[in-house]
Amino acid sequence: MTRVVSPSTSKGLATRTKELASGQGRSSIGAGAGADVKVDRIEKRFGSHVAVQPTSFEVPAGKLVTLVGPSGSGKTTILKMIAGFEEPSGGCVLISGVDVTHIPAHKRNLGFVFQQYALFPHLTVAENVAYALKMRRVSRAEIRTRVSETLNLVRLDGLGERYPSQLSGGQQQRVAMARAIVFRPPLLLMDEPMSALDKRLRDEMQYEIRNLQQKLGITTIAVTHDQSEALVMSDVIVVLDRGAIEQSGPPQQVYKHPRSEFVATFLGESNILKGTVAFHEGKPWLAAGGVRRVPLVESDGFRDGDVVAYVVRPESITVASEKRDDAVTFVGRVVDTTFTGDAVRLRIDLGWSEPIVAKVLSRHGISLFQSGEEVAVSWSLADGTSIRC
Amino acid sequence: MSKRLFEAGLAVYGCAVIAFLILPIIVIIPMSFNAAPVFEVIPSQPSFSQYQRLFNSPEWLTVLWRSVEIAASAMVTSTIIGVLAALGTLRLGSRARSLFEAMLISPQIVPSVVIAASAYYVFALLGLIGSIAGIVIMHALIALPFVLILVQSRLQSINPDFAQASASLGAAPLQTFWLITMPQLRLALIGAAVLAFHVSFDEVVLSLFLSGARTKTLPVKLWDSIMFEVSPLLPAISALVILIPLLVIAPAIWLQRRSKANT
Repeated sequence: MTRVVSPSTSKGLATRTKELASGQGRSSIGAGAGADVKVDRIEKRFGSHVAVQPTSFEVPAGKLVTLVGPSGSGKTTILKMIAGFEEPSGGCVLISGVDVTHIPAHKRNLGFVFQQYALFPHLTVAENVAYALKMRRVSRAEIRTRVSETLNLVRLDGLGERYPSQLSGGQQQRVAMARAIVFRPPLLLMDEPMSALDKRLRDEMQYEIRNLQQKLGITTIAVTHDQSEALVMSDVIVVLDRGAIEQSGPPQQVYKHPRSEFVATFLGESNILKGTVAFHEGKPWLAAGGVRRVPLVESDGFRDGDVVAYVVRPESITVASEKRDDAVTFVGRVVDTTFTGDAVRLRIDLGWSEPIVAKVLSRHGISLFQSGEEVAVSWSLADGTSIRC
Repeated sequence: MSKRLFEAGLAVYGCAVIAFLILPIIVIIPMSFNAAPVFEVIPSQPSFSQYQRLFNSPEWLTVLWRSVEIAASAMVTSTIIGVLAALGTLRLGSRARSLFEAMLISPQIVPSVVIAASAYYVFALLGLIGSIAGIVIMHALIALPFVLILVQSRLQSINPDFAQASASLGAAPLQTFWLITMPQLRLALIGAAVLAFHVSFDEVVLSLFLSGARTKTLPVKLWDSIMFEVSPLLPAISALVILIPLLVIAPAIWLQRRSKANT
């Protein structure tokens, strides 16, 4: 079977495919081979149902971007459109500047790791990994060295002759990775790559995948519904909800400065106080129920009467037995305490509509505060984020 | 107490099934090893002489070989069409799909006499009466539903991710079909082919209508000889009709066992 290149746009890609597959630089696996990706106003409609609204984002070469969101947010559909498994209803996908929107999946030269791995059950591990190289007509000797190199890379040496059904979940995951990177694709796509693993293994694989990705310099787009996975692994996270991007940026930035209530609650835990802006002695304050006041950051440019959701993270809150000289300080009563191992979660009634949640490292918190006790709660001005509604 | 009674009842029921449904079929086998020109369940003159006569009778051998040829052709035809139809129907929308499926399965729902009568009419116009091709076509038709159902149910159980994974690794759709889909379809295909062979090999009604004097199949000739002459060869022929499909099925079962042991 010969590789047929018909549309003129696919020429560049196919040529590159050949170069990549021909095995120049055989010792290192695709170092620095990452492509930059541009997703431009891509959208997907199924009849009248809009799965993905026109969505754009860019992935710089060599970076790992995670699309994160609840189920139904369109994240997997976007990934499948980049892979070529789904035809977009509009917009385009550019990989290294080449428009691949209408190139079939098998000519895109992208690695894809499936949620359930999709390892071919009738082929051995080595045959699974060799599959892409065979398609690219790589010589037998080279296939052998590249397969063993790649299995080595994912720490599966010696398991090449096994069948996928004879491997553990974690090992299958590694085979899926090996199969997707062995042909040195410039872009790796991963659909919920760790959702089938137990928590301990998942934590381990997060670091491993991240290491591998950085070692190979391979541009990666991952999809997950697990916010902690997204925060741990990514250079950039893209938070999606109902088929549209809510916010994107580096994990720390998105976590610290959520721009919407959805992002604030989806990424980690948040205390949210809704109210209106009222000026007091020339400075902006948040008034909720007309009573309690939280000072706001002046530079945010508030106007009197703005409706605002005020967000503060549980771990930003300091709990002490006496009132401190912090920017934001309240006195309240502990409603209950929950021991979570590394931390203690306190719910404290400040007279707001809901008790505020504070997270304190357990060595400090375990015996210090009891429910019913009166405590001082404080945080610094910079730890509060206001979202204009 | 009642449990014991229930078990006893179940045993009686099981014995009845064997006695009335299975034994009459098997009885033909000891009957065939008899040199005496009468039908006896326990042969009075045990011997292979009927088989010797059968294999020395060019008349019966021709018919036997013709039946095998027809069954093999019908098997190949219906398997190819069935696989293509299964692949095709799975791509259709639900409404079109049930329409096509109903159409493809109808040869097993419409009584064979009805099919035979209408085939007779159409084939008469086409000059296919009494031809091997005509019989093969009709046998392939009635075997098609079995092939379709078996292959389709297997296809549906194959994870669609496999095809996408194969594509993402650079395989064109046809390569994916041969390298990924076919190997997983193999057992269903063997089963379907064996069944198709069997359906054709012991089909009587259509063959009766469509075969001519020179295109009699084994069951048709068997039918004729039961009607017109009671030959002591009959048990031996019947035994062969039972055994030949078994010979086809045995390797299939063996293959299935082996591949199960593999995974």
